[in-house]
Amino acid sequence: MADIALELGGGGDAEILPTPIPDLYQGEPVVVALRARTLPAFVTVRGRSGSTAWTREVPIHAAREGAGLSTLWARRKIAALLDQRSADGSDEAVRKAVIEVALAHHLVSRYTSLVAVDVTPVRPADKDLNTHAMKTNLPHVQYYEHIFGLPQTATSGQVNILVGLFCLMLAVILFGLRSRRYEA
Amino acid sequence: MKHRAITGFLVLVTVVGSWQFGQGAWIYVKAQVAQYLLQQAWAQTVDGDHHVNPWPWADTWPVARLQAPSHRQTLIVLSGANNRTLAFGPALVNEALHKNASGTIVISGHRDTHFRFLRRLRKGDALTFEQVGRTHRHYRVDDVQIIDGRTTGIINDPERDQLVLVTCYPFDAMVPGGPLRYVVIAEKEL
Repeated sequence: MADIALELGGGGDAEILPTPIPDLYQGEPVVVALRARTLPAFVTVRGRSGSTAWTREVPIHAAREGAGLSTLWARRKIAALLDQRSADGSDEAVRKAVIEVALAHHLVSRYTSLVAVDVTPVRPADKDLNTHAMKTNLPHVQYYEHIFGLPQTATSGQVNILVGLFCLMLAVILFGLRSRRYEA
Repeated sequence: MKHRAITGFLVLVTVVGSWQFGQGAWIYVKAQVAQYLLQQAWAQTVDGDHHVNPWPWADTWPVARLQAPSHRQTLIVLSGANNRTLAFGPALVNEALHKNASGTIVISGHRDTHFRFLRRLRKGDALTFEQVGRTHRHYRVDDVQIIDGRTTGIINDPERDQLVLVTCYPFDAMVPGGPLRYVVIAEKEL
């Protein structure tokens, strides 16, 4: 369907994006964002399919509110503004307009970016950083004891035994639970 | 379905638990059994053999015997202070140095097996160090220090005859690999 146009029922002024509205193909919906001070009760959608004209009235007063609609409109607006730039080369005015829209809607654009500011610093501002030596990961075939003189002298035996006992205790508890279920 | 999940988890927990417990117990068993075998190898070394392997596939051999009579400890000291050797007994850290007549002897051992008794050593306790072909040397504990192995080393003073025993600190830390070392310094008795 080609030559799609929107007419606001009951007059009024609205900014409809994208302009012009693209043609409609099967399987590719056309989404139009519309911004107006007062919403009309309905809009008339006109189009041409082949040689036959097509018209439908769509009531919009019953539309539900949506959270991301303003962002959708703003993205369209920025795209439209940028297109305009390439058309007549009025760069500075377009830049200002894009920045204004992007800032108002918190959008990343060609001229704006997002900056995250950490509002919960971990370290009090008047405290110095602590310094201490980091554990060194040695290259292959270099030995800790050859360089530092003191070998690692602790085993994981205690941890192993404790983890083992914990697991076995868990097993006993589970076994108890299981046999109780069998009886029940 | 839920029942099957519980059974599966039960099997998993049992297997993991047995494996972990076995691993942990094996470390202690190995430490004990190795010292028993090492005592025999030490006896042969004293009889004149060199580099006696305590078991056929061993890559270490006894080089000295350390005794702490007041704590009823007799430990065979091994050659080569690396993680493989330390599982079987305390080991000489500075092997090249001990061939000199005097100087500091540094021995390293595991804090949770052979060198656990270090925490009970007090100033004035007697230590005996025996090497083949030498007179027994007697030491008395002079100082106990806790050092950070990342920043501090053990000073080898050739003028002083010291015996230094090193193990990891704290003794009851769960996770191995900390930077702190418990150092017992003993001075030679004249």
